[in-house]
Amino acid sequence: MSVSRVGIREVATLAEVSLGTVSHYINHPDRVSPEKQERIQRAIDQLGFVRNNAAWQLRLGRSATMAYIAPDVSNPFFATIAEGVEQRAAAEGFSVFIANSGRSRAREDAYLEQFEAQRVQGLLVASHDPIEERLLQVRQRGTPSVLVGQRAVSPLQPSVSIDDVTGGYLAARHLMDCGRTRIGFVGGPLGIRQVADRLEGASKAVAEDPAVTLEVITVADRTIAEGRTVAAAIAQRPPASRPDALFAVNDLLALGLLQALVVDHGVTVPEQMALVGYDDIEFGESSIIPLTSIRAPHEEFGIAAVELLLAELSGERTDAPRHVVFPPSLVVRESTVRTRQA
Amino acid sequence: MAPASLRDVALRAGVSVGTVSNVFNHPEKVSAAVIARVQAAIDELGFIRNDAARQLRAGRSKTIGLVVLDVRNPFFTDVARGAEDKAADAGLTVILGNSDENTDRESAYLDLFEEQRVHGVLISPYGDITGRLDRLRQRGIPAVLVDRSSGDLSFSSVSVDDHAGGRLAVEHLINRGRRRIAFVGGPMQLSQVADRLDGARVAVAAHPLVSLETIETDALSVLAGRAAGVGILARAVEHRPDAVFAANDLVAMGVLQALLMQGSAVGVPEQIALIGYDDIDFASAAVVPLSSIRQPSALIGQTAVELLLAQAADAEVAPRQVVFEPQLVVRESTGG
Repeated sequence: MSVSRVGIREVATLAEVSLGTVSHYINHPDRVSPEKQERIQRAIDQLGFVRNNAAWQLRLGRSATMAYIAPDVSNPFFATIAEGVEQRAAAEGFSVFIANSGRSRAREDAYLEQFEAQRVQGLLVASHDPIEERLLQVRQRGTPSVLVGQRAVSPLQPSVSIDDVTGGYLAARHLMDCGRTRIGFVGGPLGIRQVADRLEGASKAVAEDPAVTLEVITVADRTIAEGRTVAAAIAQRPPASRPDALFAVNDLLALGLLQALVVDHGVTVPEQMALVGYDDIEFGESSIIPLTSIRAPHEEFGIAAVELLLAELSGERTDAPRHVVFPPSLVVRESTVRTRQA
Repeated sequence: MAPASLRDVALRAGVSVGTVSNVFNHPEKVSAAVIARVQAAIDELGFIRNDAARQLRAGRSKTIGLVVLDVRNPFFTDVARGAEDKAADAGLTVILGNSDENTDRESAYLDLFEEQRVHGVLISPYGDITGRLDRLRQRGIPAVLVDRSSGDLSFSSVSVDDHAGGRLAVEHLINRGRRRIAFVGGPMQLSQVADRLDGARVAVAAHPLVSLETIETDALSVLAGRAAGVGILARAVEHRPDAVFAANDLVAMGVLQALLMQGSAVGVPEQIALIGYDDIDFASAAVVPLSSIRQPSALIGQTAVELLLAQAADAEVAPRQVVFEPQLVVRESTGG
């Protein structure tokens, strides 16, 4: 893949017309004389300007870009989505800028404003904060976006998400099917939609059996370090009042829990405590005890996000749904079901 | 409501769209009177802040562009986090471009950052981009090399002594009694890879009974490591190495997955000891906790921004090369 460096200026120079004329040719060809149309088209052909982003570049006089704003680029789940995003975007001649909002609302706002000002062609935005209202304003000013990771409420806001209620249900149901009765849900803050949905699903599963309890252990962060902290707190309790299973809202938390429980506190997994994570990142499989997790699509997720954005950019009215919701699936490994001697 | 466009500005200012474009991109070609007219039109139309227009006044954007080799590698996201924090202190933001070890993409991001007149560029280079960075500098955009030293000292750079790191890793394996060492990594065009291998060679050269083979991979990824591990397992036992030095932790994790998950009888570290590089968060949480060479990743990002700000404040300031020392972290994959 090579990105053409031929811009509107080169085309204008070769065709011996003004930049404005080339711009007209793209946007309002009726305003350009047939003779100039032909010259411009010849220049475009001659410069090898047959790229998908040619129209964008011509219209803008610069390259086609989209921006992807994510709350935590160091989470490998982000990275796998980014891979799909970049592949699909590159196939259409778009470059992707990545911005890490670091779970800060202020940084998120700064990036939204900045990318709008840079006139990127579109935005992919994953957020832990309410953001649809802000995206609506940006869209009304001319920059379309796709909400990534949570289903949009507005029918006009395209979104790509995972059915997190089902994911939470699958995780808790699996622990119950393994015979666990005191399940700890580790996640937070509950104001984050994805977290709340996963808890809702887990609650639904637990409600199916009156003998099973669900304890909510809230955390401020969803990192490996936070998982270690929670593990230490659990290990301090007398064994009888510990949960016999944990459902962590993401794999980072789960890996921190796992490592600290097993290595630092001598808790056996899964015997004394079974553990399910969420996202199925690539390090879960090779963790100290391979991690059972809820798998969402990875690359397909990013590809779907870009395709929704491209549909918005094309401006065509289609019947294709604006909300793509992927079903999650359960991946069983040794952190819940012992399959070999340790 | 559509935002005011270039065309609206041109209409209001009574000039062509091309002239407005020139005001943004080549103000030297436009008379001062026309610049003033265009500027007035921009102000009157009060359209959304446009970076091009703003930079007409401010000269440079509040953004630092960071090009990394692989956004999937936690080492680089840690570097990015360090850079973001330091940049935020100075009221700047950081935008990432992922070259994905691809020269075309690397080049495209440099173009994009130049178009945007970023405050400066931080880059962990893949191809030879010295010429490109020179051009950026001539246009007033400073650049700092990240995780790579500046060969001719013409740029500021922040790197880790990869040669020393490679030597540390292999000396450790030799001290553990290993004699047939395999270096797994690539492509060799990455100086980080070549330097780590070079350090490994120096360590081996001091021990006549120790051999070093190179298993080159096409990328520094978990997948590439897994493929190399499968290749090792396919050999007769006596032809397998007794230790693997992986060029980074992702490769090491892939090797580990292959060695342990193919139903093989290989134990780590019993039959094959394994050491990685970078000491990412996941190394210590691996099925066999991974020995590694630690790099101060967040500090690398912070320092790179500091050097960049110094260059941006004064283009005449002499480039500085900061080199950090790597550190050996011993865990169970080499026998704890």
